[in-house]
Amino acid sequence: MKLKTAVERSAPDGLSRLLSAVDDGKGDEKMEKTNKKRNRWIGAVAAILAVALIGGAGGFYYSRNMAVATVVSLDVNPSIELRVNASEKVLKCTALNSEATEILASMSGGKDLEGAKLDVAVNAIVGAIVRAGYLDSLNSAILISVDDSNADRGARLQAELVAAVDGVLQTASNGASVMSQYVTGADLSDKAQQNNISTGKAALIEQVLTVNPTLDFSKLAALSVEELRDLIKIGAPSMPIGRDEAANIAEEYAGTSVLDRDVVFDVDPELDDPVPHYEVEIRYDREYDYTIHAFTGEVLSGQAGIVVRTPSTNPTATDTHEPGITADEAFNAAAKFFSEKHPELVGNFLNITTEYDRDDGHYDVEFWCRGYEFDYDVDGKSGDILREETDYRYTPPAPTEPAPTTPAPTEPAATTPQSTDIGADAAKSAALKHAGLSANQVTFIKAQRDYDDGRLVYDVEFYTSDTEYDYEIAAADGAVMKYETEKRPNVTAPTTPQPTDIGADAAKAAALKRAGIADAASVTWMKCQHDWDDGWQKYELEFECGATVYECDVDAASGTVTKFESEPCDNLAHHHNEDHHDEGGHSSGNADIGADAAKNAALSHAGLSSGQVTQLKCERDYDDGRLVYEVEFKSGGYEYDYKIDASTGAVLEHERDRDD
Amino acid sequence: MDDLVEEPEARAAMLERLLRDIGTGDRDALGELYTLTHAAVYALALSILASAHDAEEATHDAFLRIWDYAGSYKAKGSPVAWIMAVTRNLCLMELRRKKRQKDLSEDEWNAIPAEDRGLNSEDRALLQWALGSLDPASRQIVILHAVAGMKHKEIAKLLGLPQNTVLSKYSRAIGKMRAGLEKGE
Repeated sequence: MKLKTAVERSAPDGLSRLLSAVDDGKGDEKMEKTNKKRNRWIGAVAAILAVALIGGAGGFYYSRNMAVATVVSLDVNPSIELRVNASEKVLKCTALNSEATEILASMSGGKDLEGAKLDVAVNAIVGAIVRAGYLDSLNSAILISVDDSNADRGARLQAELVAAVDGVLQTASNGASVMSQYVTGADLSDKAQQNNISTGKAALIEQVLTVNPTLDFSKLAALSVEELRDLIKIGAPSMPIGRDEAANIAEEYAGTSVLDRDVVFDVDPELDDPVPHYEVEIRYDREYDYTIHAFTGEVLSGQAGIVVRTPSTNPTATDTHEPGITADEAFNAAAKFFSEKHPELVGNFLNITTEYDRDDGHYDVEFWCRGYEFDYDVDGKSGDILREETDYRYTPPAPTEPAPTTPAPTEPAATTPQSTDIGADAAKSAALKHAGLSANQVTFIKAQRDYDDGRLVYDVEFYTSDTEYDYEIAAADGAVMKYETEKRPNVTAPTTPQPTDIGADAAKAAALKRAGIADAASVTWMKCQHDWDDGWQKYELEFECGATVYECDVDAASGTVTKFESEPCDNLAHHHNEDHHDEGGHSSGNADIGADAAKNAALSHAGLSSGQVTQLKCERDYDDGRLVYEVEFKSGGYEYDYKIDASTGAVLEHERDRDD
Repeated sequence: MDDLVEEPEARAAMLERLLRDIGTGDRDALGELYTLTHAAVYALALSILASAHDAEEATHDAFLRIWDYAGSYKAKGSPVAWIMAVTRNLCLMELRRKKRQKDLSEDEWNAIPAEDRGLNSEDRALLQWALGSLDPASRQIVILHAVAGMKHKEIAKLLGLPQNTVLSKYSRAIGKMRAGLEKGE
């Protein structure tokens, strides 16, 4: 496409400028580099300040520049306060708690930041907080508070800082959320100081107290920003036990409190969960997870007495990360565990993968059963089940479902193919049939069972003397889901450019013929580009027809199709016009429960009737290769957001948020 | 772009290798990455910022940011999507900072080749039609697909739009551009 060339020509070449900008960072460790950049900034700022001084404005400089105009605080668990002058330079950077002291240790306790511009300092701090691992989960949050007597300036600074921090988090973390507020903290600063927190956090606590005035300020001060935010969200029913207490309860239960070392690895508050709880991760001889009720302190799940059970003398020292058991043994262990745990599914599940994870020293065993995934970590030495991850959509069978009555066999029946799996040989045959080839004409590379976009498929790959074929075959019925063919490089091919060129029209015709499309008018061309490839001239074509996108390379000399790829894009074309069009040509073959059933599924999950909700919206969409309904409604001051599987009506995702 | 690896997987693997090297402070890798991707980065910046000068600055800043953050990139097979996300975030921040988001006028597009970079009148006309006549979202989609080579699915994810929307906007934009070009010549 010419557009590409045109843009390329218009793009300025700034490489030498870029390289000189990074030059003095060459060979440094990444963290050093960032510091260096910041130091350069600070140098520049210092120079400007020096000029201002020499310029004879000393007295003025002091009164204007040393006066604190704004106080910005950053709270995650670490709480850091920045005092800033009217020119947005940092006068003082203070760690308000011990976590903050650790964060600022790499910046001379915050002294490096003094004199820097506010946004530079905030960037540096947020970067350090991210590196320390505080903001790596999706529901973690950072609170930016701006305390300024000048409301306009405060609001502007707040907006700028949120934008800057959001930018850092987008690139450097998993999308932790940024909260911000504008406070005038005169009346809060005493309380804040008494509790060693920022005025910003104090303001957030005040919000909790508005919701539930019976709670205690100083106890709330010990909670993290994430906990406070979630408390407000769920209406602060009572005082949560806090992360420390949750850890204590888990340790008591696990029996690790007698140890003289700290085995609590992580405590993650989930107060906005339907059952508010803390997740406590204990690492002893392996990883143990505990869920503790956030208000009652009740242990909801987790293994008791782990120290008695495994009197491991030195669990880590001899760990060479080489597996002590074979993949088959790991698989058998997982299958046994699965069979005991889910007798209703015995004889009905398939092993997808068994892989050894060298870093963690365990096998990852994956099962697939009735459209659900089950994931097991199996210890590479002992064969113990370290972790089970049950597909969150899976609920043990309803009474109407006839559970198999056969008892768990001693040798797990895992290898018994499910009725909906045609097997690797049938998948090979299906691919060959589609390619118009027989088995003796090809060499197979693989026919591997895989789980793609929530469905069981076979990846079938084979080649002939001149072409490679790559198929994705549905395990249920042998349907061709996706295929790709590519010419194998021909060693005897001339390397000089071909003199002849069939032209774009002939290339398009060849592509359509290959795609089996007779009606050229039904095609939308998205790309037709003449290009060089390894000394060959070719046309790169891309077009859409019906609900399928095709990508195709045509040799410009011979008109041979050298690459062909087709993929059902989605069902946009259908979806705006009609509701229940049967996806005749659509190879996904998904059933569609319809919008009404999707709405009902969401409402019943929320425990609401259609009369209780307003602004009910339902949209059909295609998400990760799966047809879904996105259902939205409001009720009782909350906004609900659901994603419903269009074929089963299962709730795939749900979210409840305060509607403000 | 003849030095570009055409095979998408090979290209992705190559870019990931470069990002990994950049993460260790390899200046040459940065140069190589720049050569391979700066046109696409610039194009995306231009499509958002609508100013040749701002786009040039944003391109510079985007690569500095890539230099700083390449170490935190987790190889997931979509390095282009990551580079574009970095660029886009940077541009959106710049936009917020300037608090302006205006449609392009013909004059501004005429100002694209600030100096002679071998942009002939045909290219210029193409750019003008291609981008000046589209709404901002379509403009970004066309740039990301046609210039940066991103898949519709990746674009949908980057822009937070349903894949349907991306595809239909793309088809419509291409149709509109073609119609415009035919009329203009």
